[in-house]
Formats: sequence, C-alpha cells, structure tokens
Amino acid sequence: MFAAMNGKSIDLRKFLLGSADTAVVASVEDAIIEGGITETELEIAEHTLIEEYLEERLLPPEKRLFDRNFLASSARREIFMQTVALRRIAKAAERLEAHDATSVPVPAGILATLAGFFRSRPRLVIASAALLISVVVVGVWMNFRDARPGELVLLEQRYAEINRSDISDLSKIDRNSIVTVFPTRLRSSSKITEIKLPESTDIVFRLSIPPNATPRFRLKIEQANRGIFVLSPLTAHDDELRVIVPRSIFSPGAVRILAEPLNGEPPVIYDFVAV
Amino acid sequence: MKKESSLRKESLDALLRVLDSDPNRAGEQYVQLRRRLILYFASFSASDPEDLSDETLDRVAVRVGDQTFRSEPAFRSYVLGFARNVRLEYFKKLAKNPILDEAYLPEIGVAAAELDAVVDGRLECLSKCLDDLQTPDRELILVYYRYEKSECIQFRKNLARRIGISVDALHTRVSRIRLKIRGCILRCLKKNV
Repeated sequence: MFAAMNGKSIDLRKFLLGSADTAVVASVEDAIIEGGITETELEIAEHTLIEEYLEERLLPPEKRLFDRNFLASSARREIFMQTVALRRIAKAAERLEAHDATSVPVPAGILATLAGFFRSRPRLVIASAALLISVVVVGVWMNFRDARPGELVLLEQRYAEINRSDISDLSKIDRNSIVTVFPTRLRSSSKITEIKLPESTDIVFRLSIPPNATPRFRLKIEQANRGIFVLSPLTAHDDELRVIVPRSIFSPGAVRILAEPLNGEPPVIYDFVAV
Repeated sequence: MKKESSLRKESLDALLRVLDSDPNRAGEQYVQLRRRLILYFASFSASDPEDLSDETLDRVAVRVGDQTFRSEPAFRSYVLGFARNVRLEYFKKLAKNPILDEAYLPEIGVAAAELDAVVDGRLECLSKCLDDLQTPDRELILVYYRYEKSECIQFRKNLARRIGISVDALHTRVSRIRLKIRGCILRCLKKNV
C-alpha cells in the first residue's frame, strides 16, 4: 500500500490538498481504517501544510488547492486559527526573552558605594544579604510570573484595540505622555538622541513618516536587536503615525522602532536611547 | 455516543460477534474501529467526526448480521463502504447549508479583520492551555516555533540534537503536544460560549 514513509507523506499531502487521484484516495482511506496512518501522522501532515502556507512556501497551484480544499471546512479552519495563535504566542515568548536580556546591570559606581558602606558596618551585611536574597527571589518570581507569553500577546492585543480608537485630538491626551520621534537618517553619523521616557502608564509616540507613504503599518519595537512588542495594523494620518504603547515594556538603553508598511515597502526606522 | 444508545442490542451483539468471538476482545476491537473511523472523518475535516463514526457503526451493526466475511480486509472494506456513504451525505448536506456546521468559521482570506478577531478569540484559551501543560512540553512547543522559513529547518535539527532525539521524533513529540492543546482549546471555547 505505502512502500515508504516518504511515499506515504506525499500521498497524504495530495489527499489533504484534494489533488490525489481516486486510487490514492482509496489507499489513504484504507490505510486509515486499517491503522496504517496514525492520528499523529495525519496531524503532522496537516500542520506541515499550514506552516508552509503561512510562510508562503507552497507552490502557487498548491496554495490554490489549500484555499479551495484544505480550508473548505470549519474544522480545518479551526486548526489553522489555532496554529496562527500558537505561533503568535511563541513569538511573544521570544520577545519576552529579549525583554529580559535588556535588563540593566547595576552600575559599578553603585556597587562600589554599597561595598564601602558595608565595610564600615559588618553586622549589617548578614541582614542585608538576607533582604537582598528575598528581593531577588521575589523579583525572579515576579519576572517569571510576568513572563508568560500568552499575557504579552493579550497585552499586545489590548493595545492594538486601544490604538484603533481615535487619537487624532492631542488636546485630550496628557501632554507629559507624548514623545515625538523622527526617522533615523540612513547615513547619519550624528549621535543617537537620548529620550527621557515619561513615567506615565502609557506613552504616546508621534512618529513622523515620509510624505505619501502608505497609511497602514505594523509596528515593531526592538531592544538589544530583538523584538519586544508588536502592534498591527496601525493607520497613519497626515504624515504622522500615532501609537500608544505601555511604558512597562521599555528598559533603559537603545530602542529601535520599525514602522513596517503593510504593502511590503521597506520599514521606516526610528532609533533613540531610552533614559 | 448519543447515537449508540439508540442502537438495538441484537444489532450491536451481531457487530461484536463479527469483530471477535471473545466479548472482551470484541469490545476492544469496537473501540479501536470507532477510533479509526473518527480519524477517517477527521481526515476529511468533518466538524463532528465522533457523531459520523457512530452513525457509520450504527448502519454497519444493523446490516452486519446478514453478512459473512472471509477475512479482516473484507470486513474493513465493508465498513469503509458505509463510512464513504455517511461522509458523502454529510458533505452534501453541508454544501447546501454551510452554516449548519457547528464549528462554523469565516473563510480564510475573505475578511482579514474578521479572521484576526477569530484568532484573538483563541489566544486567551491557548494561553490557559499552555499553562496547563507540563513545563518541558510548554517550553518545547514555544521554542519549536522560534524561527520561520529556511531558518526553522536547521533550528529544529539542532533542537532535536540538543534533546537527543531524531527530527522525526521531535515532530512527533510536538504533534502530540499540539493535539493536547487542540483538545484543551476546544473544551475552553465550549465553556466560554
């Protein structure tokens, strides 16, 4: 029936895309009923097709078959949605790791001051060490608790909704929470701007965009060369993209914001150092 | 199993006798056959493969008493014939009225905003389901999707090597985690309705 695993995978792929001839369909049906194809094999074959579709790796005729046949039923569309959601959360997990990687080391000057302080007060060392350990443990626990990728995705989802609201009237926004940023010039040798980020819960970025740019964007915020927050879709008005993001995602250090046009044009890049 | 309860005892007994002369083994064979039928209907992406396999088994049970089978493959072909009919009837009904599909979802690529909303609707359940997984499973599934396109193939090879298993075994392990998650999400969505 199925001489080799490879042949089986190919037949299963054709079967799922609806391009198998009647002989192959009959052999796959038979294999399922006799136990020659397992639930896991079927799931892997389905998942491989979904991944290739999402990553645009299907050939054009396969893509047509995928749209027309593979996604014809709600059950398959459900699997498709779940795969999209799972990939989104996995990407969020990566962003959380990046966020952790940007945590700031304690400046050497502070450590030297503390060392000097404790040298003159040895009895305080033990008590302070215990306090420090408990603070670190609580900090790590808090960090771990906060580091659930699902929560980051939900946070991004909430902010995507917030950004769908009308923020054209700046008089309704707390002025202290507004930060204006201009695109980084590609060949600029000038020092990157330092920006003192406001202490408000949210920051409203006013991002200047080139005239006549496409109005629809996906916004990606990076620190330490890794994405930490993603928002999409966003709509620009009057050569400006206004976006509300939570203050809590930023650590002090270099920040890069990429406004990626949804039509595939190159991104507009904004660099600054958050202090 | 709601259809099974309507099945007459003598029909079910006849089916079990065909499956095996030993009642216990016949029961096991029945469960296995039902499981394969569920997979059969799932492979055609039917929304309710359990109901369709029960319908198939009901029909087989009613007719099987008159039949004699020389071999297991002959019996499987017989069952498959009923399964095909049930499948064709199901999809014919669905083609006439797609909204009858219990798990009706919008078509992909037609309305992106609607699609996003459907995916968003799954995120909360998925997040909870990931929390329910054991830590190694959760870490594995999240790291499995770390890279995309050409990068992911090499990454998954390295990942498999790091764990000390083959790439095929890695795909199998991740597939089982996905199946767990899939079941969990469907239960969560039903609860939220």
